[in-house]
Amino acid sequence: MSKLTLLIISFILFILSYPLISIGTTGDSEAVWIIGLAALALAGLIPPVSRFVADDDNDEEEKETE
Amino acid sequence: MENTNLPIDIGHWLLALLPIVVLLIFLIFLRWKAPEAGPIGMFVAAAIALLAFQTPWETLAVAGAKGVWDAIFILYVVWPALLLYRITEQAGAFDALRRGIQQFSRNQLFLVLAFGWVFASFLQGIAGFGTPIAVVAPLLLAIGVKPIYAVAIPLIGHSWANMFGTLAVGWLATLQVIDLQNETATAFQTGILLWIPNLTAGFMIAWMFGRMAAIKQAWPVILIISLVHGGGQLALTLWNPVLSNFLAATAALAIAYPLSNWNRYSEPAEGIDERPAIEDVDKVREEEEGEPIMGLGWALLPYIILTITSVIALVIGPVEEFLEQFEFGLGFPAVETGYGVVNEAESPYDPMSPFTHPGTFLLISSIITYLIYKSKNFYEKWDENNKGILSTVVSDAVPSSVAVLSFLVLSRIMDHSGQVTVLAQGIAEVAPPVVYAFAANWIGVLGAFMTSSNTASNVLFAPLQQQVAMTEGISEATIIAAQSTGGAIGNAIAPANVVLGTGTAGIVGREGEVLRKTLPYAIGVAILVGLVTIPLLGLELF
Repeated sequence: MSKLTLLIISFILFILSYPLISIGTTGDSEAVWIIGLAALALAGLIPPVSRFVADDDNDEEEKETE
Repeated sequence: MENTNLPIDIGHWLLALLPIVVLLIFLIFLRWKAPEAGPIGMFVAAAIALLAFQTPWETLAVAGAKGVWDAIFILYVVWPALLLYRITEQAGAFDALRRGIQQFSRNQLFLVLAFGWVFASFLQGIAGFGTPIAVVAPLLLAIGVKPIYAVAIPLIGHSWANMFGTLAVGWLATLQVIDLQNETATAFQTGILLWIPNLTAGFMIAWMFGRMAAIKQAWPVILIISLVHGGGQLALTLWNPVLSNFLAATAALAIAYPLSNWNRYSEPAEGIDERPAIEDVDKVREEEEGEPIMGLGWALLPYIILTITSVIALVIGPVEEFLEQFEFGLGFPAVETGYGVVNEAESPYDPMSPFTHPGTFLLISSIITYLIYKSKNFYEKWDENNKGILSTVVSDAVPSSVAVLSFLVLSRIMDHSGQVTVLAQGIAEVAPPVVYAFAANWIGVLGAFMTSSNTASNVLFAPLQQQVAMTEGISEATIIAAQSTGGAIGNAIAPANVVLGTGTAGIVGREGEVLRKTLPYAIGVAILVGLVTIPLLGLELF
């Protein structure tokens, strides 16, 4: 899977966590906010993991001069 | 300031500092990209919150979701700013802009100061939310500034304008969270201290351009602009703090044109051999074959539209009042930690007013510009093989967005778990009055570093600073002024702000290199502000 695809998934999970946690915590629905928190954790986990598993990760731009 | 049972000891203080240290290590020393390093800091903050700050899972969830919402305010600048950039770049407008401006003023040093300091400050005066960085970085690229410097320069150039910029939202928020004994004295002293990052920004940008030789050439214009910026804002704080930055920044923009006609700045800068911020001249010239696709007026169109829409919506009172009626957001319940850190229920939490948000002005400017450029066939004439604008925007914006989201979640977790309070109270408890006066602006820097917002920094720390000033028997006005100035300076190093620039400059992943340019400046200015804060304590103003 490409790095961009993984980051898009992470981005969507971050955004999804917001309504899930809000609805879950204000409506006393523990399952909903736990799913939201899990989405947030997964969203945060994907980018650092993608550094090692993405098909097209490349750091050549970091080696460029200023 | 709420009463909590937070343990203010060296162990907890060091633990509270750890997420920030880890973030900086990954960004600056290990050179991880911001979207990868941000979540590491986020997880460290969450682990410390759970294990050392008695934070329940529900509080952690609410903090994280609030961080996501805080980030959406910034992302609504990132996405439209990138859209505007791609719409103009793929029509050949940046090429036209560079070549048109070089005919208009041939002094590159003057142009870098005009864009990176004067125009960035103007944009901060009206729009804020990182707009100056996102918009100015590609403009500097267009006139031959290297990408790292194209991001670092507006970060430094706009930071002084954060407190009273965006029509003084930071000042108004401060008045919401604390009752000041003397508003005029506080605003005036803030104006005094903010003059320091303003003046030093001018000199720092000249230094970045061409070291001492550039400073020797630029010092008259730097002093004139700073007199209008910093002096104008200072004088205007006595009359109307809300308009003080906007009027001063607009006046400086207005005098930029007559200054460009001054012989000293109308011809190319001579005698500056070392130009670390500037691309190789031959590389720039290689791209200048043929005629530009459009005139300078067409190339400047998006920025003219952006300025006009921002001024109409934000400066004309009745229009702003009408547009501000529309707002939305979701609510959160009250949450607390085992140490008694309470965050009240809010419904909705920090609602967004989309029609007065700068993202909307950028979006309007993007749409109108696209339609006009399309009708003039600029896209077909410039490059038939252009990639799709929207797909390019997505690939540019997603990495920046993930980084901003993780930074703001980190910030809210530290806030809701009490880590931020421990950091600030730890400094307050061990510092005698004079040392505290020196350190007060550093607390403001910390708040802005974490949240990329002067306003958020003041909302977080102004109550604490006021409490410490009263306890230590020192001037509340001076300490709040120092906090506010630190909050402005911190914007030059806030990772979320850096990402805004690396996104539009096309160098996502090189945030650490940008920080290595802006961090020494921010530290130096914070030291200067701290040193000036001490004698201010003894002055009886108003």
